[in-house]
Amino acid sequence: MLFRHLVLIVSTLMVANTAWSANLPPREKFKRPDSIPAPLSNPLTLEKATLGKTLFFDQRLSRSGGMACATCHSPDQRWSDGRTLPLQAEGVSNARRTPTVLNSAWLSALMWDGRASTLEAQAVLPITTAHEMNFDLASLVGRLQQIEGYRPLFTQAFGDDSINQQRITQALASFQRTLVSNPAPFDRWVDGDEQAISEQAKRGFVVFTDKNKANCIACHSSWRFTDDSFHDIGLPSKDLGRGAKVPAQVTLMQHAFKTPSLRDLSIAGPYMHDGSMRGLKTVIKHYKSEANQRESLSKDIQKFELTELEESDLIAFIQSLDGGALHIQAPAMPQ
Amino acid sequence: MMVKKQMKMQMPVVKTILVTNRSVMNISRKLSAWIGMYALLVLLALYLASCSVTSHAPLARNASDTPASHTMTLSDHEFAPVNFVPRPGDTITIRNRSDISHSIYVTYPDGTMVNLGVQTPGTTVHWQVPADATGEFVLQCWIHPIIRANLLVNVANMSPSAAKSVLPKFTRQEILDGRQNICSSRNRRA
Repeated sequence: MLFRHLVLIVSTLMVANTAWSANLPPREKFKRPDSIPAPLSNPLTLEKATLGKTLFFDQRLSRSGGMACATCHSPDQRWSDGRTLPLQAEGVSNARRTPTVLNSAWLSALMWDGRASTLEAQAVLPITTAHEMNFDLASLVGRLQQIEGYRPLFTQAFGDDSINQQRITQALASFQRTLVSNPAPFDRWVDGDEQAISEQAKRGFVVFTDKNKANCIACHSSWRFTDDSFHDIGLPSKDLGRGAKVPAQVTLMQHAFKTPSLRDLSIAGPYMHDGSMRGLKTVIKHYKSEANQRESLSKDIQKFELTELEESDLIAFIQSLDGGALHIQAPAMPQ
Repeated sequence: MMVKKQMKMQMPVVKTILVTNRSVMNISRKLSAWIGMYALLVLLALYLASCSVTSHAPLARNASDTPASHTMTLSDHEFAPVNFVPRPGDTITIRNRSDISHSIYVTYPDGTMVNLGVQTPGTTVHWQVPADATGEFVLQCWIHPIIRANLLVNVANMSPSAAKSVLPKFTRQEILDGRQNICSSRNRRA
């Protein structure tokens, strides 16, 4: 009798496990790429990345000489700044949270509203934005030409010591392409290590991908957990986001912002384009039922319900995407 | 004696008649040759004329032809490969076979943008190729900029006279490169 019950329980568990597995997307969909992509117009080289790293940490790229790219994209803050709104953004209308630059080699649309399509084009924007580095590129080129220590770096990267705007942006873009998330427990699970993530995280993966549950995967897809696309997620912010960059009749793009990656999230936030939320439980609560039900709201966002356990499972899964801080040694500044 | 004289007198006449007959035959032969040549030229001209009109048939739509229907499929973040050549007036149905919503728009060669609306999973939208379409039409998604399909529409609905006025010239190299079928090649390029 006991044996029969045992067989019955094992059979039930096997069937349940098969069903559970069948509903999951194939793990290959989340497999990390083997190499870093770079455009033909700016092949990735160690020399360019080395120059770019120096420029990235150099505060002399700002007009005041007090702000570097790394000031807001800090290695200690997951290559963001940990702030709700960026430095000097007080009083700036529709200011947006500083996004991470990790894994930016794979981005096809940059900035929250996608107004830059390459890292090279994007590199100009913070340097020239008034409330950020507030400089102009002609003056920057002139300033760098006065720094003897940059000459050998430019020579190694480009063959001669000529300094111009294109070389500066190509070097900055090259360095940022080398900033790739460390492998996370989830990556080891994708590679076949069944013990790499907890059972709770595995259950959370189901909640994450289930169309009848959180269905986060509708937008947070691919190995980077972003679709590089634009959605209005129903925040109260008045910022039009992508909507200001496309014809006004494209209702769906009003208040739409680029989907951020879920890798290497700071556990305390801030989250969302306006930095308005802290803590993943707050984010889940928003998606469950608090999104502004306006016409532009993404059609992929539907109200859903989760139990306390499922919410904890979902958070455990998101934490399994954290490969830990990507630390690098800050370079010596050329004189 | 008289007969002999008469014969002597008739001889040049006969000779003249014989010579005249030969000339007539020569002229006739030459005329036949010219007529033959002319007929050949006419036939060649007719052939070329027919080539310029009838060879359009596979590409140009006759008045009696009905517009075709084509289907494009959206997977998660891409269009499935397109296996048809759209023509003016055709209807293209876009099926969303993904689990996410899309919002496709078409950019015309002159920059005009046509929105096809929001497309939730499992639904279809339609776009009719304009009757005067020619050039490249680009289909993209507002939500997912990575989604893109380029459709080349080749117009072949011009009258022969109109077509003649825009026939491009072909270099020898173009012909050697495989454009021997000048009629259809011209048509495709028009």
